[in-house]
Amino acid sequence: MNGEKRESAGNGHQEMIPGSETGRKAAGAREKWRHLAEAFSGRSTPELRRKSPVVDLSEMTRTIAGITDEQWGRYAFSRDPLDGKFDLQQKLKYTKAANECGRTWAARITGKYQTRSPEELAQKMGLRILKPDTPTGGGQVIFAQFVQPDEITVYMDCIRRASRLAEESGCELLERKRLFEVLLSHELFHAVEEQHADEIYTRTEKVELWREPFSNRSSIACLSEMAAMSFARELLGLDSSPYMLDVLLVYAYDKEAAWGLYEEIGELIRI
Amino acid sequence: MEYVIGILLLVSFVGLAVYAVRGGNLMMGMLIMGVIWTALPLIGNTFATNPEFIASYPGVTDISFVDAITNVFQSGPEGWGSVLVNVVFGAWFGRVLLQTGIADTLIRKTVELGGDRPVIICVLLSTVTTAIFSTLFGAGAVVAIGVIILPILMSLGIPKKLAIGSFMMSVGAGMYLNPVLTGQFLAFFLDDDGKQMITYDDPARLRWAVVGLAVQLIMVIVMCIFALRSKKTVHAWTASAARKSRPGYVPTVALIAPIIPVVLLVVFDIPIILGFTIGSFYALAVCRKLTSFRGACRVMNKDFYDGVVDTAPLVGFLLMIPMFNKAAELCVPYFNALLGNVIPNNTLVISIAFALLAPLGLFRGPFTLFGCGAATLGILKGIGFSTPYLFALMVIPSITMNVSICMTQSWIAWGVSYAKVSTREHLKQTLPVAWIICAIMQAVTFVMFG
Repeated sequence: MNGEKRESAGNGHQEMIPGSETGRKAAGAREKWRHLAEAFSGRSTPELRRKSPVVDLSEMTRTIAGITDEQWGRYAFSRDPLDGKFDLQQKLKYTKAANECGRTWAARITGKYQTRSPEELAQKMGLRILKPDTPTGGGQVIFAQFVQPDEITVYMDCIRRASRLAEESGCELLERKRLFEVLLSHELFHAVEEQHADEIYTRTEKVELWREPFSNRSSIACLSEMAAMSFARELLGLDSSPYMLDVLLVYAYDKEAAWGLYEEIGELIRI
Repeated sequence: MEYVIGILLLVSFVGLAVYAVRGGNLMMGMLIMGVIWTALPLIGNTFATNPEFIASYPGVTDISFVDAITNVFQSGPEGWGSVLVNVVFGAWFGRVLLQTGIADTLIRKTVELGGDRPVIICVLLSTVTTAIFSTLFGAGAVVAIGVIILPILMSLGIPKKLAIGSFMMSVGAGMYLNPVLTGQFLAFFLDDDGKQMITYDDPARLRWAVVGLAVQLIMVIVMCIFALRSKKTVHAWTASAARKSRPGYVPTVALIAPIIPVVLLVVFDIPIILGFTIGSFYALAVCRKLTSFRGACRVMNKDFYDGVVDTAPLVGFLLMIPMFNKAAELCVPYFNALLGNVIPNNTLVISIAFALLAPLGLFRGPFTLFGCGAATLGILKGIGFSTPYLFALMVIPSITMNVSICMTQSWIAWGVSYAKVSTREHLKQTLPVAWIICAIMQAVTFVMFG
């Protein structure tokens, strides 16, 4: 997952990414001197960001489409506040159970409401769908959200930007209608969780955080996210995990950030 | 003549306030004000004819041109050398805590105790953040800790404006005890020989600072509990930029490192620079970063370098402030002539005014020492209030309004932009709480020093 060459924006000029230790150190020192000079000149100082290898969008899409649910599980746990509490074996066990939970509930819900259309399901489940154009971005990109008890929001700015990449990436998930369905399906799972909180695995599975005689039993947030991805994949019959949208949707806002995320995922799944 | 100069000084003061509120570069603003506030009183001194006025301020109204410019432009910045040294050592210590992974581990351990309960997490993280920033200082440190804490808070469904507000105000709570920031405030209170009129370890000041930290932290916790009391759970599908590989857990004994310098200073009277040095080497040693002499040199070099870069934006500003302060001393006779009969010589009235008008500490306004409050202090000094009272009076809005919630504070501007919260939303969340904190602390100040 490492690119070798970086293409300068606009002029097609190719320069080698400083690969050697000396090259990296020199580039780092230059960056810091620039940072220092900007600081003394009174200008705001941008956050230092590590440069990640540039990867072609279609190549990146192909690679992440091949990542398994178990591998995405490592990524999901890396984002979980309780990550440090579990070893690899425990994480794998939780990942399998969460994915199974998503698939099972997709089957139950489609059976119950006799439709696989996310919009119809939302309607039959009594959910409201909001489609604001709120621009997202910044350090975090929000794609969609579910707010208790019955409100789903899909951010259309994110869909509009990402759908422009559909052709270049060759990813059908980025096609406008499909992308909307995937985001909606993911949030539908959280609504399902809400409606079946006392029996659904992602809510009933708890871990004890405090030592006796005190007690604080907590659910594991990333299980809910993994199950939601699995739910959406099963409901829509997708070939690959919607987790790949984490990279592709960020790419629509900030290529550097997406390359960084891609690189990080590569490192995580090689563990 | 003294009234004309007084009015011109006041006009320039308003000009600085407008310039600061509009986001002008404060380093340049302070330099320009230093020049204006040196020139105007010197002109006034030349043409002053009132013998009573001249006799009332010996050494000020009869100061020579060379002495005046030497005091303002040479002695002023030189006098702040000790503050800058503390800032640099504090920044180094901050970098050590970040590079060793101690700060990261502290936060992760805290979050692991909270689990999926947003209120508990908010309360625990606010407390830990306050503890960390009772020693750590600098935008680099706030950003480095913020990129760990903020995604955690947001992933738990805590509203972004509350996440930013509680984090930044917790940072501010720690600043009441922070020796580096306090050093900057203390440098506003130097006598004619350049000696501090009030010190960090002054028992009464220290008690007041601990009360300030506690009041602000408790109010942040109340804000979290209140905001989350009937909060609907939010599950948001978000993705954040790549994270640096985390340094892994550090030994438990390393987790006390953040408070070592302050404990050494308060309990054992060990000077703060030595405290930072001991704290840094303790952290590096227990985290096994000192495996060889050569390695130790490299680590120390790099952390010092990064620390200095972190504080660079502050350094320029800090070097201009003393020019402004020294120039303000030249202006005291003229401000007194103009405002001496207007500003009440009564601590109760002043305390109430500072409580009611606390938001004037925002946007580098007249109540913050990191803005045109430096001039306000000059005016109040001329009236003759006690140093501990004036210190506390001015530091409250400087920390609670400026450092904790103001958009002109570099790390708050970063946080608000990071989470994509509007200024209005941010101030709506934090201003009422900050205002209450200011009012409580002004009451405490009046009781303790008024």
